[in-house]
Amino acid sequence: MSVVNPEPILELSNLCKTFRTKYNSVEALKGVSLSVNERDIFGIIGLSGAGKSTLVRTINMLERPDSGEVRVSGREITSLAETDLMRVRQKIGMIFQQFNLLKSITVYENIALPLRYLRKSKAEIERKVSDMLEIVGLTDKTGNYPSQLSGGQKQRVAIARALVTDPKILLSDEATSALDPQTTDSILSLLKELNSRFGLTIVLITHEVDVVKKICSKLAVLDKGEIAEQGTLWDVFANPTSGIAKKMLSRLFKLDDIHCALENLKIGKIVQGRGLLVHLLFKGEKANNAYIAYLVKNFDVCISIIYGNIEVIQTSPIGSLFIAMSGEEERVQAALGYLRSEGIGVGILREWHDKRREEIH
Amino acid sequence: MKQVTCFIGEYFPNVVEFQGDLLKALKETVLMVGIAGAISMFFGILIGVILVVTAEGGLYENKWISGVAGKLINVLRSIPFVILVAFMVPLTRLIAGTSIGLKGAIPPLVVGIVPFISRVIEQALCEVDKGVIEAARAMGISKPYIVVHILIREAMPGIIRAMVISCISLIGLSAMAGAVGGGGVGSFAIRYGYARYMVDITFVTVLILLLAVNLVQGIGNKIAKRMTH
Ligand SMILES: Nc1ncnc2c1ncn2[C@@H]1O[C@H](COP(=O)(O)OP(=O)(O)O)[C@@H](O)[C@H]1O
Ligand SMILES: [Mg+2]
Repeated sequence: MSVVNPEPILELSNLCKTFRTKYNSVEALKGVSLSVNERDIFGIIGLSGAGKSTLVRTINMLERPDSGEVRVSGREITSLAETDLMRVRQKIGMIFQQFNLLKSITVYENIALPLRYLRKSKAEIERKVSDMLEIVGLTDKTGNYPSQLSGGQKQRVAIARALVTDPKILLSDEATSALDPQTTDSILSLLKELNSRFGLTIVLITHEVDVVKKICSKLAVLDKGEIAEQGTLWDVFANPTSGIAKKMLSRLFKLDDIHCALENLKIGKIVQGRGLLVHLLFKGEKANNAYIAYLVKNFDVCISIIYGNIEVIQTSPIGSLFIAMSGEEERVQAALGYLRSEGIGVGILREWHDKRREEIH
Repeated sequence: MKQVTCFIGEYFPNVVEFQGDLLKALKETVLMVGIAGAISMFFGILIGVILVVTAEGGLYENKWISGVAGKLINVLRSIPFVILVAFMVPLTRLIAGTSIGLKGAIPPLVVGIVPFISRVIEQALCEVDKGVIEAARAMGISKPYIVVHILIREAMPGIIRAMVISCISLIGLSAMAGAVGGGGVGSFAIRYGYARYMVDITFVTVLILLLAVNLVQGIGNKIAKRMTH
């Protein structure tokens, strides 16, 4: 599914940043490395204070890292002088949680701002701004002031302004965090459309797992200034290794609620005191295969389906299925091995051995 | 019409008698406030901008400049205006060639009001959303362009309001400058109203100042309102 090693458009290596104030110092970034390929929608998720904003601000050098390198299209930028940096920034759009539009000027003028600064001709400004208004769907708001717009519309203006100079990269720092769920969805679909239509690379900072789930193709989990894990969305969601990623996944599938419900079921009875409670995650088309029937038939194990649901990650589904499995020890292991070899996420939640009930997880 | 003239003649005899002087004093006050105002606005905005951009987290963060400018303003603001006028006499002579009359009033007025204007302008500029500046920096816009086209433009309603208060303060100061030899309605009121017990002159002067202040306030509010979206 993934392209084989395309050139990264963005490469961060070993970024460190410590904020020193009079009273204390905060290590906001502790050696962060990641690379973003062209056309990626790269999510960076983490709790508040994890260092997400600091990280994204090093990408356009709004924040100079203490050490480490930032490469944009192969060019190292941490050592650039201010004037060269300005040129780099003109090729990287950025949007924010608070929209950051100018109150004193109209929607049109807000979008035109970067072009006016670059002294583009009047005709070009007019053409570009109306193109952008069309793309973000605000042609009827040209002459309005930001105070007359809803949050979602303001963010659309901000997106238009960020992209009017045709940057190849868009940085989004919690761009949907001030919006309600419906508006969030509409902004995310706009970003997705920009990504597929214009090949825009997007680095998306968020603390919401739902946002990541909806549009990101890759994901890095940032925890206390360090990358806890990174990979494709599936890598992280199917085999979370860090505590924080596991928590995210369980939030996505509402596993806590399900665990609670499972507590009340007498599963030990279902497997007759001997067997496993297994959580399976099926990726993409695998969700359509008849694995359960196959297992029952070919491995001679007994399976009860306890609970299942499906989340759509990007466009492909991830199925989450809780089953109780019992049978001969080797057969059960063989069945699990088979599932793993098929690339299915296998999590063993509990094991019951003969007679004695033992909690593993 | 005749009745009105009669009424004025009866109750404001001195005003009628010295109406030529009054008009001249008015003209002087307008000139004093206008010229000193224009010069001080320029310096006030300049220093206000310097205060904001050199402050911590500002575009040109510079502890040294911001510290010195801040202290200097505080010192100047703590000197009572009448004392400042006296204190400045040698400097005033140097700049304006004289320390009395309209010309002599302008340097102390400027020095007296600029620290105040700088502070109110600073406040207006501080109210500009930091995020907007951040967004502009992210667009790759240069700092000078940000100051002129974004910081000052976004602060414009606040700056207008700051100008209104400053102008009103300046009218007050100009009357005081007049009292110590500067001309204008202040000196007119002192010379006739106070020194010669012509109460009607004092009364009319107060009335004129009241009207002027309200006029400035009214116009300023209207402009500021039109600029706020
Ligand atoms: N300019 C700054 N001065 C001092 N500390 C800062 C500054 N910016 C961020 N920090 C600190 O760095 C840490 C990471 O902040 P931030 O990158 O904003 O996190 P996030 O965006 O993930 O919430 C926090 O502990 C924050 O208090
Ligand atoms: Mg943040």
